[in-house]
Amino acid sequence: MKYFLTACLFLTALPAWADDAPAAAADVQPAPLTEPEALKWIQQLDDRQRNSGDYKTVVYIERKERNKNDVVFDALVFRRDADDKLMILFEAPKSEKGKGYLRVDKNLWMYDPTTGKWERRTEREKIGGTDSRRADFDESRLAEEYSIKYEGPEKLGAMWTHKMTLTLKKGVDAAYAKLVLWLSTTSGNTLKKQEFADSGKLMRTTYTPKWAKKFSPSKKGDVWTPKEIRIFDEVEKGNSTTILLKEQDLNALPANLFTKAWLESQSR
Amino acid sequence: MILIHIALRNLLTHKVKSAIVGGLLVFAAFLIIVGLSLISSIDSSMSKSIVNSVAAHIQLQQKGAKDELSIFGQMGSNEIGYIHNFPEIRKALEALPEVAAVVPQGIDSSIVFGGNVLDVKLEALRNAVKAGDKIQTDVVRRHVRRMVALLDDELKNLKGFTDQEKMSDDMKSGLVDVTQANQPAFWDSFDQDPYSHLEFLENKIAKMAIGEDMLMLRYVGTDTERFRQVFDRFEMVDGTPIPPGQRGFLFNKFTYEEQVKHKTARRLDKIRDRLAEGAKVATDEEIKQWIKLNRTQYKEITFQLDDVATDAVKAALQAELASQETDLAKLVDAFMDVNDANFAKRYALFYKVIAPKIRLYGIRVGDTMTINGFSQSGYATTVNVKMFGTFRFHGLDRSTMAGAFNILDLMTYRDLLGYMTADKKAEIAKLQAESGVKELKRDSAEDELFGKGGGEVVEDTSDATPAQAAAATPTDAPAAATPTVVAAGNGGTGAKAFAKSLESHVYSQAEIDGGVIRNIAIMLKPGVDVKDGMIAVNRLIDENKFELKALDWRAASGLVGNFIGVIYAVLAFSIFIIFLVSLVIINNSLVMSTLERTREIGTMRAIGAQRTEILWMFVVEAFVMAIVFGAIGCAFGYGLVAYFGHFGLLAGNDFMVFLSGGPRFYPALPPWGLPVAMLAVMIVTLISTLYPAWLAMRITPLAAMQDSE
Repeated sequence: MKYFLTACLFLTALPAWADDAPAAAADVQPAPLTEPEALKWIQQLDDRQRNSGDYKTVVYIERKERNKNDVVFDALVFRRDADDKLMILFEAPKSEKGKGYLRVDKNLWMYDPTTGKWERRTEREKIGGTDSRRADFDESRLAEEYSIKYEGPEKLGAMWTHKMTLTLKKGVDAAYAKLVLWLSTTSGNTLKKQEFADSGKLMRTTYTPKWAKKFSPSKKGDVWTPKEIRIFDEVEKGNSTTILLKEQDLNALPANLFTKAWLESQSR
Repeated sequence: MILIHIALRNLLTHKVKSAIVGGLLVFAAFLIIVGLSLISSIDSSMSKSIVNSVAAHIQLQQKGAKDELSIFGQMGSNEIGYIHNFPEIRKALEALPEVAAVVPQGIDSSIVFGGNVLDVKLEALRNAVKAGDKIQTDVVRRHVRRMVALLDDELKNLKGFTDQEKMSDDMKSGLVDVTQANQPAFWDSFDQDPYSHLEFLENKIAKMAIGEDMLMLRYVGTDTERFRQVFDRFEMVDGTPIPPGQRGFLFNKFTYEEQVKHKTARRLDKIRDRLAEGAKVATDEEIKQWIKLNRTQYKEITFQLDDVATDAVKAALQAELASQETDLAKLVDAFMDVNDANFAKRYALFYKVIAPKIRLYGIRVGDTMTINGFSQSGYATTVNVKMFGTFRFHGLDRSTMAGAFNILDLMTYRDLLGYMTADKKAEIAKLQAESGVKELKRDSAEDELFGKGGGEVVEDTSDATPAQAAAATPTDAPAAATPTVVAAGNGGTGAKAFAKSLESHVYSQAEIDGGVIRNIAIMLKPGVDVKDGMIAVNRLIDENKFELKALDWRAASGLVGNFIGVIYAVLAFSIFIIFLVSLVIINNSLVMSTLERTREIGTMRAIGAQRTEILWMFVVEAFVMAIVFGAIGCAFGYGLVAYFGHFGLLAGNDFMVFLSGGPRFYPALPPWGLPVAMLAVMIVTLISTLYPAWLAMRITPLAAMQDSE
C-alpha cells in the first residue's frame, strides 16, 4: 500500500516535473495561477518560440474581405532572432513576386522591385495589405514588451484555458497597447489572442489552433511555431486573414541574408 | 381711386404704425433681394468651379454600387463600382446631340513616402555605389558624412539636457552608433565594403534623424489629353502637359506649394503673403508661429547643404547679420528671426543664396516619383511615374478643395487600383486550391476550432530531414544568391526593367479607353440645360441597358454640391422668421389702428358703406404699404448687390474661393428676383391685414356711437 501511494504521488507529480509546460487535461478546470506563475508561463511561451539560431518557413496568407476579391500570397519568412532580424519575401502571385519586408533592429523596410525603392514602415504596417502584422511572423517578446496580469481559468470552446491580460510597457513600440491571451492548459501555447488599441477598442481576434514543434540543433531543444493562424478583423467586421506556416527549417541561413542587397538580388 | 386715397391718408395719419410696419417690410424685401442674389450667384459660381474643373455637368457610375460618387467627398476611394465597357458607352454618348465630350475618370488617394532627409541621401548614395559611379559616390558620401557629423553634434547637445537614466536603451545605443559613424575610421573603410557601411547607416543612423515626409495625394486618373481639352479651367503652370498616350503625373500647383515645397521656404512665402495683406509680425500670432518654426527647424536647411554650399551660405548670413558666428545652425536661427523691417530683404536673400542650394521641392519637374496605393482588392500597390509639371484650375488657385486634385494617367491609375483581371483571379484561385484552407466563419470559429471534436493540434516535425526542409524552399538557397553590384539602369529583364520601359511607352486610344474605369464625366454642349442633359443620358442608359447611374454635378460632387441647398434652407428659414415676426407686428399694428378708427368706420357704415367696401379699404391699404415699402427695400437690396456686383467681394478663405469660382465674389440679381421679392412682401402684408379687416367689417354704426360715448 505504501508503495502504491508513493507511485500515485509520483505519477501525479510527473507531468509538472517532466516539463515546464503544464499538463492538466484540457477538459478539467485548472487551478488558478499566481502572478509569478503567469509571468513564468509567458516567459516560457516566448522562450519556446525562440530559436537561438536561424529560422525559415513557407507561409501562405489569405485575406478575405467582404464584397471584395480575396488577397492571397505565398511568401518565405526568414528570422535570425539573435540579431532581431526578420525578412518576408513574396513568391506569388506573379505581380507580387520579389516584394519584401526587412526588419533590422527597429527598422521595418519594405521593398518593391518594380520601383526599386525602400521605404520605412511602422509596426502597424499591414503586411501585404492583409490583417497580419510584422509581429505575427516575428519572434515572440511578450514578457519583454508587456506587463502581465492573470485573469483566471476560462473555457474556450470545450477546452479550459488560462486567461491573461498583457499591457504594453512604457516606451515600447508595438502594434497594440493591450493583449488578452487564452493559453492552452495542456501545451501552454496561445490559442486565442485579442488585441486592443490605445483607446481600448478591440482591433483583432486571433486563433492559433495548430502548432508545430521541431528540434533545433542550435538551441539544443524544441522550438514551437504556429502552423495555422486565423485573424478576424474586429473593426471591419467580416474581414479575416488566414496564415499557414509550412515546412519550418531551423538550419543556419547565410550570413548576408538580412540585407537590402540580398532582398534586391531576389528580383533581378 | 377713393380707396387708394384713403389708404394713403391713413398711412400718413398713423406715422408710427406706418414706420414700424414699413421698416419691417423694407427689411424683408431687402433680405429677399440680397439672399436671392447670393444664392443665385453662389450656385452659378460654384457650378463653374465644379463643372469646369473636374466633375463636368453629368457623372456616370456603376448602377447598384455600394457608395454614391462623391467627387469632393471623403479621401480614399469609395466603393462606387467599376465600368468595363467605356468604349461602347462613349460611342453612344457622343452620338447624343446634347453631349459635347465624354472623359473617363477614377478618383483615388495615395501616399508618397519621402523618408527622412538622411534616408533620401542614403538612397542616393546606395544608387551611386550600385552604379559604380565613383565621382557621384564621393560627392554624396561627403554630404552624408557632414549630415552624420551634424547629427552627432545635435545628439551630444541633446544628451547634455537629457537625464541619462531616463534615456531608453535604443537611444543610448543610437548615440554610440552615431558617434561611431562620425569617426574618420568609419569613412576611411567605406570603399572596402560600401554595402555593410550603407546597412549600418540606414539601419542604425538614419532612424536617429527624425522627420519623415509623407504626402497624401488625391488624384483623378484620366485620359490626360482629353481632360486637358474638355475642362477649360485647366491650365499648365510649370513643365509640360503629359504627352498624349504616355504615363505621367501632374501636380496641382496648390498641392505642390503646400505639400511638396521645402517647409521653411513655404513658411516664408506665407509670411510674405500675410504681410502683403497688411498684417504685422509683432501682432500676428500665426506669423510668430511660422517664424518660431523656421528658427527651431534650422536642420531643414543645414542638413541639405554640402561642404561648399555651407561655406557660401555661412558667408552670406555672416554678412547679412554682421556677425562673426561660425556655427551655421546659429546663423540660420538668427537669420530666420525676421521682423517687419528686415523681412523683405531676408526673403530675397533666402531665395537668392539659400534656395538654389537646397532641394526647394521634394519632387521636381522631370523626377520619377513612387506612389503607394491601397488597391480595391486589398493589395498594397506601388508604381513609379514621371512628374511632368504643375497645373491649376483657373481662378481656383487658392482653393483647398479644387487644389487637392492632381492628375494621373489612366494606365498608372489602373495599376494602382490593382483591379483583378481574369488572369489574376485564376492565379489566386489556384493558390487557394493548393493551400487547402477551409473557410471559417467568425461566429462559429471558436466552436469549430476548440469545441467538441476540435482542439489544439500539435505536430512534432523534428523528424523532417534536412533534404525535405531544403525542398520546401521554392527558390535557390539564399546563399547562392549573394548579391552582385548591378549598374543602375541595366535592369536586366526583371520587374524594375519592365516598369522602366513603361515610362516611355505610348499607349493607343484603344488601350487607354479599353480598361476598367470608375466614373465617366459628361460635358454638355453650351446652352443645354443640365436637366435636359440628364433626361437624354438616362434615356440612352435605358435604351442600351447600360448598368450605369447618372448624377448631375450637384449630386456627384457630394456634400459641397448640397451646400447650396443648405444656404437655401438657412435663407428660407431666416426669411420665414422675419415674415412671421412681420406678420405678428403688422397684424397687431393694424388691429390697434382698426380700434382707433372704430368711429370712422362706424360713420362710414352709417352713411352707407358696405362691409365689402371696408374690406377693400384694408386690402388696398395693405397693397399700398407693400408696394411702397417693398419697393424701397428692393431698391436698397439691389443697390447693395449692384455695388458688390461691380467691385466684388473678397473671398475670405479657401472655401469661399471655391464657392465664388475665384478670388472675388460678384453677386448678381437674377431676373426673377425682383418680382419674387415684391410678391412675397405683398402676400405677407395681405395675410397680416385679414384679421384687422375682419374686425373692421364687424363694426356697426351703433357700436361706433357707443364707443364714442
